[in-house]
Amino acid sequence: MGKMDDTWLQKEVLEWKEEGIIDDAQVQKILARLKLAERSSAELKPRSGSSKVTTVISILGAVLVGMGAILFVASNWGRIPDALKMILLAGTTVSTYYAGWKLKYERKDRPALGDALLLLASIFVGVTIFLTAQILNVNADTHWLVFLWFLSILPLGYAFNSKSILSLNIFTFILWTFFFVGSGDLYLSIFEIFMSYLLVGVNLYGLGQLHTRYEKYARFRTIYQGFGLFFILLSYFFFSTETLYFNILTNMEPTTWQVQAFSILFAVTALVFIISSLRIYKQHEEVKYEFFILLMAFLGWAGTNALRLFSDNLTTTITDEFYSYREVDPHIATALFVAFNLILLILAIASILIGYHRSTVPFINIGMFFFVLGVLNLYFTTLYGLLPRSIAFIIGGLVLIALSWYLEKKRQSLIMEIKGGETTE
Amino acid sequence: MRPLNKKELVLTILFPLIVITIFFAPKLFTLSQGENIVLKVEPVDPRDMFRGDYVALSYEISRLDLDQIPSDSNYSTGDTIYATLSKKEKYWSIDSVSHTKPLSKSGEVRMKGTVTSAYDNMVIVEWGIESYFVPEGKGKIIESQINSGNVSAIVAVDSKGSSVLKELRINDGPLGF
Repeated sequence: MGKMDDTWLQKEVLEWKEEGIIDDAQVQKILARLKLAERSSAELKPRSGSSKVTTVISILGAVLVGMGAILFVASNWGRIPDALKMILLAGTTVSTYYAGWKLKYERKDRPALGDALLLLASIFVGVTIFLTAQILNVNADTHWLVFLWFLSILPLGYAFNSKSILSLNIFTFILWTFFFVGSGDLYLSIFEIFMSYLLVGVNLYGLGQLHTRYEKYARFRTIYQGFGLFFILLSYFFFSTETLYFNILTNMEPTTWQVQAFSILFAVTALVFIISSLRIYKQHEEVKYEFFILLMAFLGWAGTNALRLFSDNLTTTITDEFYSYREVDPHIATALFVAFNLILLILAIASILIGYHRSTVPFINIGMFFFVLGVLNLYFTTLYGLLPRSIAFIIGGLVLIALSWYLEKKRQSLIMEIKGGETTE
Repeated sequence: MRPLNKKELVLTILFPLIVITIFFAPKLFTLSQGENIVLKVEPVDPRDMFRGDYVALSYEISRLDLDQIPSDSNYSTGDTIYATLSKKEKYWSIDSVSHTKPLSKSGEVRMKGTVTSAYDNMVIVEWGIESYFVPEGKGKIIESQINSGNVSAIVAVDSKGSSVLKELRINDGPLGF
């Protein structure tokens, strides 16, 4: 193979890794097989540092311009007639899309800027919606306007092959759920809210995992899984906090049919994603951690939901002078506390491990953030005495040290395997 | 992934515009084809996160005393409610309410709303015309006028009962900004 071929193949392999088609270990094996492994780490980077800086700066620029446009519409400047505002905004949206497409795909000389312009145009779509609603005096704080934004740009992330538009798409969906829940139309308890976000997180994570089956969409995997992980860990963190688990069962009031329909629908899709993830795992063993996270997060949701069935048995009714309320049995409360904390810490560690394994920094950051948050919560919790807490921390620390020993051993064996492959060539 | 060709690009760019148009088309239809009615406005001046300052409006028709208004049955939160309105001197007011859309007669309009709260025979209704967006900082002027009872609202109502708030008027004249 010539040097040109080597460089091309090397870049291809690294692009595959970045898109999630292959993992770190496979990259090393392929490069070792082709005797490319000795190349310096600087050469191995798929994109240069300056290219990443360009991407980040152009996206930040697009976000700032987009926010400025939203604020401009919000100021409702009366000197421009409404019709002219609409024409200007629609024209700007269309021409920004065109300019972005031209730079990214036709001229191909400014792909990062082109992608940022495509993102900006997608923000302009939202601005157009808010301007139209302002002109028509649609009632304030109407949540479906954000849903309309989500719907309007739904296929655009895929059409323009843009991770930033896809991120905006997921962001608008989550934002819509915030407004929907905040509107009070659903009458959700805080317990139901976090149960719903847990299910949304499981679905986003599973949807991301599904993307690994389709080569051309594999690069979107990390976006879905990043958002998914965040909501899974956020929900379990909520359940692990000691002030709430006392009330967790008593908060399980019957909900509206919309919430029940939502739960059933998303539980079914989560199951579909789990089955799909299992099939991927059977074909590619390296995705076992992803499958494990998905399964554990879902089982936690299903288990907590199942507690509703035994709500009466697990709680005691206490009658006060003025009113009566239900309280969870202290032993059950402790069991729930331990279970939710364990799930949170295991999932946070799994997220960090997958992040390292897949070279996906956001997964490491998300996992690390919630791990630290979980530990701080445990440290400052006032329910248990100092001695049991100290023992729990020591045991937890020892488990992590043992885990690091195991991982170190795995890494050594992988290096040996690569070296062995080279010598047998 | 294969980049879009020009035809696909045009369709992709048109997609959000089409979706937006579909969603807002009924409102535009109401605005252009609906009958204009004048309602008496009561006071408030908050800010929407994406659309800026607005005047939160309440109307005489927002609070219904079912002991005074002919109605078909009991109402609870979340119910759809139809009101039949006719013009009395200057303002339009409610003659009757029902769960289903009544037949239309000349000189009357039907408005569709949602019950946001119901207790005893008092019902609070949202008609979808409770916000009027104004240039930044102008809300207080309207609010003070509303407090002195000089503000009315021109509302377009179509044959389906949908309504769109067209404009606010102070002393029967335009707001002037």
